[in-house]
Amino acid sequence: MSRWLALRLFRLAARAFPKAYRARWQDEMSATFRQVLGAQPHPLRYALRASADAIRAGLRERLRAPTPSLPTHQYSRTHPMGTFWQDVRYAFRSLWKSPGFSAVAVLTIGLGLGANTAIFSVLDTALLRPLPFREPERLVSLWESRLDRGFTQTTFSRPNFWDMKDQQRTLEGIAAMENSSINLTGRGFPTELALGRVSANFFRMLGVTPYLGRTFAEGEDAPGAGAGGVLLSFRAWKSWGGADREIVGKPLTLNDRSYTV
Amino acid sequence: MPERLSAPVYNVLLALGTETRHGYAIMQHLAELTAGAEELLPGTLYATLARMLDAGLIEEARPPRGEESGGPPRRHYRLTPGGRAQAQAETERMRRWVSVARRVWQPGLAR
Repeated sequence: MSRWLALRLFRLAARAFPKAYRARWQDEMSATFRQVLGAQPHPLRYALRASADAIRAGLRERLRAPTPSLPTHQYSRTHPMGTFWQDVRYAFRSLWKSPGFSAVAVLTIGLGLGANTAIFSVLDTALLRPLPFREPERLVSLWESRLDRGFTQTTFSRPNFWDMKDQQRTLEGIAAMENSSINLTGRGFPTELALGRVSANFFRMLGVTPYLGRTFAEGEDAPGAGAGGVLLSFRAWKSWGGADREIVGKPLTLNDRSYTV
Repeated sequence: MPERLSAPVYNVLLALGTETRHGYAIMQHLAELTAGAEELLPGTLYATLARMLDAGLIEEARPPRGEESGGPPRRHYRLTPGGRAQAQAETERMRRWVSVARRVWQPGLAR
């Protein structure tokens, strides 16, 4: 399997060579490649190296190849844009005549662009763009440590959180969030949703106001305050909430328990 | 002053030496000669062979006796007198270069 793939890869890479060159050398080059491949302990690894080499050598041949169809004597040397459209048309004609080379070139550029875009998206989200909260530079994450059990960074127990929230004097406020998931039931087929359990002051502290309705009121998270309410993310409201503007106050069944939006 | 030869061209000249060989044998023999330090991959090898044929450094030749039968038919190559002269000139140029390098880095060993 890997030898078959290796051969296909090399044949594709060899399309980087000009057509006239391939007509003369392709069979011999492929036969030699097949023979070397037979002696390789890691055929795919060798195929990757040989393919990269074939693309390099092929592109060099193309740059070296004479282009008799290029009527250089007709080019205008007076106007800087005089030859521009001729160059563009010539480039497109050349690409059209060598679909294999064009495919390799487009694929290479596409992969490069894709990788760049992916890396920049991560950088932009993680490093460049500020968090969408009020005064994001003042936000910190707090963790507990349980060194006696070998945990240097662990989540707060609920009683510890309440004590910390009431007794600390360093920060303006502390809010808690716990990520988990829950099943949306009572609406046909059950759906698993990502869920964050938060303390009542969570959204106020981040300076976030909801698009519709309200955030949680002080004391709504106190023990014995009832089932409480849920706040939908914008995406959840748009997708399975049907973008219903009257959804606030309606009941929602999660894990067979009723909550209010 | 003769034009300096690229590394792949010089490698092919070395691997052919005084023999007649096909592409695969050139790759193998080069690896043997240099104990694997130099490697020619098929893309570069055939691009180099094409250029060397055009430049008259090598020519196609009949396969040596005993190699005609078995395996796919393939082209064999050998150095032309011009190719041999170029190889010798390049080797001489490198010898002088090495000698200068020795004088600079290892004065005691200069010859």
